[in-house]
Amino acid sequence: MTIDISALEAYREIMGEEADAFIADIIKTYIQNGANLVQIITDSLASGDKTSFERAAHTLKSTSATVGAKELSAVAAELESLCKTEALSTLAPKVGQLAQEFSKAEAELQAHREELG
Amino acid sequence: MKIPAPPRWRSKTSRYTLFGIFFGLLFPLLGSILALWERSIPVSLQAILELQKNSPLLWIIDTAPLFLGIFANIAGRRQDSLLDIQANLSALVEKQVDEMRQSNQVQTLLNMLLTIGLENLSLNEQLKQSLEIILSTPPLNALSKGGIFLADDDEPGVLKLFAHKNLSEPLLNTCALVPYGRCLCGKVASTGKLNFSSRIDHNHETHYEGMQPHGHYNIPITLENKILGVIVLYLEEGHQSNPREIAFLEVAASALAGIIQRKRVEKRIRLQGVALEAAENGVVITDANGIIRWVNPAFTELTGYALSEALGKSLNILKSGAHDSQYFDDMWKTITSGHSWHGELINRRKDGSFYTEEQTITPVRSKDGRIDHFVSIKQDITNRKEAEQEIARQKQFFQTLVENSPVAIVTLEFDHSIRSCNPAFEKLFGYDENEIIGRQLDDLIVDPDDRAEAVDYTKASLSGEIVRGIARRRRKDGQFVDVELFGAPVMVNGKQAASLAIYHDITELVHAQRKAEMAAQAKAEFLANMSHEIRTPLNAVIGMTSLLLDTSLNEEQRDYSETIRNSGDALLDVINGILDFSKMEAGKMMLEKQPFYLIQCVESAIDLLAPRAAEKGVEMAYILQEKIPNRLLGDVTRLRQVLVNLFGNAVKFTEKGEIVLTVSCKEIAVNHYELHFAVRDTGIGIPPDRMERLFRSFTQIDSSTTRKFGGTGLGLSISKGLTEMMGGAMWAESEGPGKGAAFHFTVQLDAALVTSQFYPTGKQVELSGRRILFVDDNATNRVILTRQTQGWGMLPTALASPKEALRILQSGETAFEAAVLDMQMPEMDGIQLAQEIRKIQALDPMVLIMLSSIGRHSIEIPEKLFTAILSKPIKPLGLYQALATAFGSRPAKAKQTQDLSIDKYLSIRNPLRILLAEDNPVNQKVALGILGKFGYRADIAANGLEVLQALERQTYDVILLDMQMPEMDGEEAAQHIMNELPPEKRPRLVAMTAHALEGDREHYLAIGMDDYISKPVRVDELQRALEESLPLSSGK
Repeated sequence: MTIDISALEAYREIMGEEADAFIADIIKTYIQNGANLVQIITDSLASGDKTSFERAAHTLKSTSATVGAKELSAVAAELESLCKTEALSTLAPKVGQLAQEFSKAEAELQAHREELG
Repeated sequence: MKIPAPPRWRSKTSRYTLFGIFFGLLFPLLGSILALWERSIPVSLQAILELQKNSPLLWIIDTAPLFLGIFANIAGRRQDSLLDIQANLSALVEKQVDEMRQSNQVQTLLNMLLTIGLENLSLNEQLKQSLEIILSTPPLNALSKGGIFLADDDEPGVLKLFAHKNLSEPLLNTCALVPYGRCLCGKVASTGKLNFSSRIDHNHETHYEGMQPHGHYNIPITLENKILGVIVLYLEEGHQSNPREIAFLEVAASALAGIIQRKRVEKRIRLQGVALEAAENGVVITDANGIIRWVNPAFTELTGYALSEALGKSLNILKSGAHDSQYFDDMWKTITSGHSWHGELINRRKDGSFYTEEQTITPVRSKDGRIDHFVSIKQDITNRKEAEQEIARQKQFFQTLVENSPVAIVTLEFDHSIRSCNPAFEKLFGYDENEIIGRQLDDLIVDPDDRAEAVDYTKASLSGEIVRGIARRRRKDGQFVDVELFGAPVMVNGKQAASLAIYHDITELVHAQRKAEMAAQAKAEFLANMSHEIRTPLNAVIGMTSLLLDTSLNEEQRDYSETIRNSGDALLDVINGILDFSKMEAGKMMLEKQPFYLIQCVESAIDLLAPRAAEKGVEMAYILQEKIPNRLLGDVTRLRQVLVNLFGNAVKFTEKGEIVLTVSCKEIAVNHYELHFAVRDTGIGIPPDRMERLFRSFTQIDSSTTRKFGGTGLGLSISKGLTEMMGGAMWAESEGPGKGAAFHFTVQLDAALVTSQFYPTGKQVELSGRRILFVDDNATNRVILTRQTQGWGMLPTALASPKEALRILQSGETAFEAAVLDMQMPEMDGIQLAQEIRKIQALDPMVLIMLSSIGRHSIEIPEKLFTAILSKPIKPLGLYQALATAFGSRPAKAKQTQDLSIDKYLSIRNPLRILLAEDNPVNQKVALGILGKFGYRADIAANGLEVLQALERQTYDVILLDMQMPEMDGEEAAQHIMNELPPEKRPRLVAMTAHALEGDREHYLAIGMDDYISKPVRVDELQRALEESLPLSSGK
């Protein structure tokens, strides 16, 4: 399991009756947003746009942590700090890993969302 | 006639000789007898011989027979030769007479043959009769057997048997077809020479069953050295041929040749005649002066003149006057000089109408070379002419259309080059037709950027597709035009000949559309802003009024405050309605697709209206059909909105009675359902003539209704729009004023597959088989309770009358384990009834559950009288739990965790205006969700700039500031705020960062931030941060 479900389940306590819908909504938003961010990261890698690369990596790090995608969050954090010092082109393998982690996280979260209904 | 053969023996000569000898013998015999008598010697042979020896005189007498014989012979001879001469003479005469007779007969036969040739008979019949005649000729008539073979033009080298007489069946079969060279007939056909044979010899190759000995004549029928056929005649075996016979047969054969030839010519002529008669083209034969000698039926059809009418008339009867005399002079000159004339003529029919014909006139020369006839062949081409004119007319029509069309039209060759274009095309693109013909269309009017797309269009239209689209094209001067383009293949006889492109200049249209879109955008933005701008202060009004109502107020102040509160709520409703309506109008209304529990949706809608209904004493109830999936996918908020709207109307317009919702469904595809909701009330109803106005925006059934009941008239039209968006419809029914109304709507929803919430459907172990009694004066409630508990396997009895219930319980007829009692009943209320029941069952107390309406809690209920108290409307889950609990076995409790650690009243204790500055939607949702649980509604800014803009519009008490945002990050925004606002007016700045690094907190506090929390946001941390914040007005 790439996803630490407890990160999201923590909200169940607060949200009470609306928890299912709330968590499902968060997951839905995360998947849309995350896919977009991975796209931005790969696009910036190609175009050499460091600023958007860094911001997207940062955001992905943050939101991935929110939904419990710890490994993805770690890779994003690594990219966020590496891009400050390294040439973007050297980060391509890491970005590939990021994309892979994202698809794994996406699949698991999607499954979890379907469980919720 | 038979000539007698001369006899070997002349009969008279021998007779005379014998007589002479015999007579001579008498003398010696008589002399001897006399001599003996004289001597008286008896007559005996010995005596005679003795006498003879002794009388020499007798010897002389003995010579008499010799001499007499000789004389008689001579006399006989003479007689015989006389007879011979006489016989020869008569034979000669007879022979000559016979010959004369024969020659006469032959002549007659030939005449008959020739006559047959002239008779109007079929060739077959003629041949048959001819054969008969030939065979009747003596001596051929002995067997009277033969046939005539003819050569066939269609099958050269083969003889076909045409006519026959007395030929046996096997022979007919064998010799029906005889190849040249085979057997006697075939040999004759190939040599052309007559054959005679007196018997069957080696030449007779064909043998057939039952063949008798016979001889043959095979006579060729020839004409100008061409074999027309062969005559076969059967002869008696041994027949002797003679030249006369042969000559006759040869003449007969040539007569037959004449007959056959004549028939053939006749046939050809007849065929030609038929051909002319049957020709579709009119044929006229005139003499050298143009006088009609013959016309065919087609001529009659064409001109209206019958043969009899036309004969002897001049061709001038057809003249229409359409051609001048020069025209006819030229024609006449051509044909009289021996040439054919070909041309078109407009002629006049007999009935005076005109027609156009194509005519060929051919002069016909006689044997001496003089032109004595003209043959004219006419073809009516009026239809063709008319068709040609129609085509020309249409062509002209289309040409005019194309020339004057305001849309640009260009036709293309297969190689994408321009074939032609119209003036509108020239005008639109600035090119002259002459300079572009033959050039590549896509080179001329397509910008290189659009080339790929343009080539696709061109290719598609040239491959027979119809294409259309909206595109950008370039003028000669380089300017762009927006066009709607349309490409179509031009088909000729089912084959593509070219293609056509049409360009409609839509630059203006596109411009207008963009303007309209911008206007719509502006409107939408305006509305969104307005919504924010209006709702923010309104929320403050409502929220503060609520707080105000919690303070100690005197009666008057409370009244005013409640009025403010109610008006605020009403205003918020109106604004929400208008916003929904404008969203829907603009097509901007979006529906979510999230799983929800139908029952929760329905119950929450009822809960909202139940207090108002209870205040008016109106019962509310709902029945869900059992088959409905309890969890569905859709926009629960909007569905609830529709239900609330309908319930709201129903409550508004119903003074007494009940409001019942029924929900049924049908599965219209796998896992896809159409739900049918019906809200029935017993209210004022709808007059039939007002029915149609119901769903119109901004109208109510009449203006008096508006005055009396209030409302914008938007609710129903929004609800109707929402149900339509959900794939359904909405309609209303009413029997008329005072008879209540029913509002129906349908929606289509998918069922959510996974259910994680417990919901009691079907047989329940805890309840199954238990007897339960319902006492409620409301029939609908009785039905609902009965149906629901039956579903769980219980055995319900529902009664309207408390007294009846008591009677049954007292009688002990049925052992009920539980009773559900309605609180408000006319005879006896629920409490009284319960007390009576308890009296009856003092020893074995049954489970008693009370149903009461919300808002009537003021009634004092004696403690422990009821096992449970449920509020109406009846909710299945509540009833199930109450019963199951009462029966002692707790069912698996639904997963309903309500952690009370969250402080729902934080927002009331510490009302704050919060701005959440966070660009990421996930984090936004999480933060808003938690804030919502505290009771806060935060505004959102997606970056630093938006934070500053928001601050210009409104004052915030707290800003939750994400440090890393696009455009302007949190740190920069914070610097701006700190620079521009004095500390007392400055909102509390709470920095948020993801995965806080060591020292982040110190860093942000050092640069002047008031607080710091890390992301993901934790509830306790956020609560602490909010608790430490204070509304600005209270001073920092």
